[in-house]
Amino acid sequence: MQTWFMLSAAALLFFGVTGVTQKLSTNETSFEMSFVWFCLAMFVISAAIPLIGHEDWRVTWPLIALAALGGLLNGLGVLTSFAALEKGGKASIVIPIINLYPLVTVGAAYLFLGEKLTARQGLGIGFALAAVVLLSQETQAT
Amino acid sequence: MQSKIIVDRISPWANQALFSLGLAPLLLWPLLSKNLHCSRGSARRGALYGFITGLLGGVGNIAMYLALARGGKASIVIPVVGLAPLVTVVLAFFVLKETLNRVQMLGLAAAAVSIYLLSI
Repeated sequence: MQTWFMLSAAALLFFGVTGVTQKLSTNETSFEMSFVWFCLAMFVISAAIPLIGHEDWRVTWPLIALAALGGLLNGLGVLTSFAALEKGGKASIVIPIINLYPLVTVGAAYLFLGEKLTARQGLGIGFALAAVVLLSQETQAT
Repeated sequence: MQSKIIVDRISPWANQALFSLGLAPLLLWPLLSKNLHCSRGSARRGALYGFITGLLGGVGNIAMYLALARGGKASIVIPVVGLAPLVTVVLAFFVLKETLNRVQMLGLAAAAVSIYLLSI
């Protein structure tokens, strides 16, 4: 198994657990307070990065702006997901709906990054996208 | 895709540090909200879970950026990471006692097939 896949799987696991910790947090406190503590933890990690010597600060202003924009957009997603969970949304429904974003990424990567896929990879991505759509389905009460 | 564009130019670690910059202006909303201190249970426990969410999110971000930097294609890495609901749905069943319907179970099976296909 390739390193990039192992790292992706690790990210999958970490992000998956956050779906539950988000719900546990909003079960106890306001989504606003949950988000404040989420940001504080992010700041702690970011502050620790230079301390553990993993830094190369040769970056340009456009790249800084692009990375910060990623944080802003992602943060908006986190904030709204905390709000959705606080308003009674089930973690098993809210989180899959939020994770429909790869539908956009796959198309954009093909169009703008020129990425090519093998038939097996294409099939795997098809199953992944189908899985997220299926996981987001909530049975309607009759 | 923005992540892939960036990790080709700066380190995954720098990316995470800069990512947090973007969160800072968003803090204005909750900090100015009158609901900030409304709690339904233990505010301390809620804060702890919120903090853990941030820690896991940050480490997850770094792992994802590293995956992209180590040769992973955005069109594969992002859908794999996007399978995070697989973990959430299973944990929600056990930890939060949320129920799973048949369609979601089909989704779990599709996720397992996807991971197999993308990992070989």
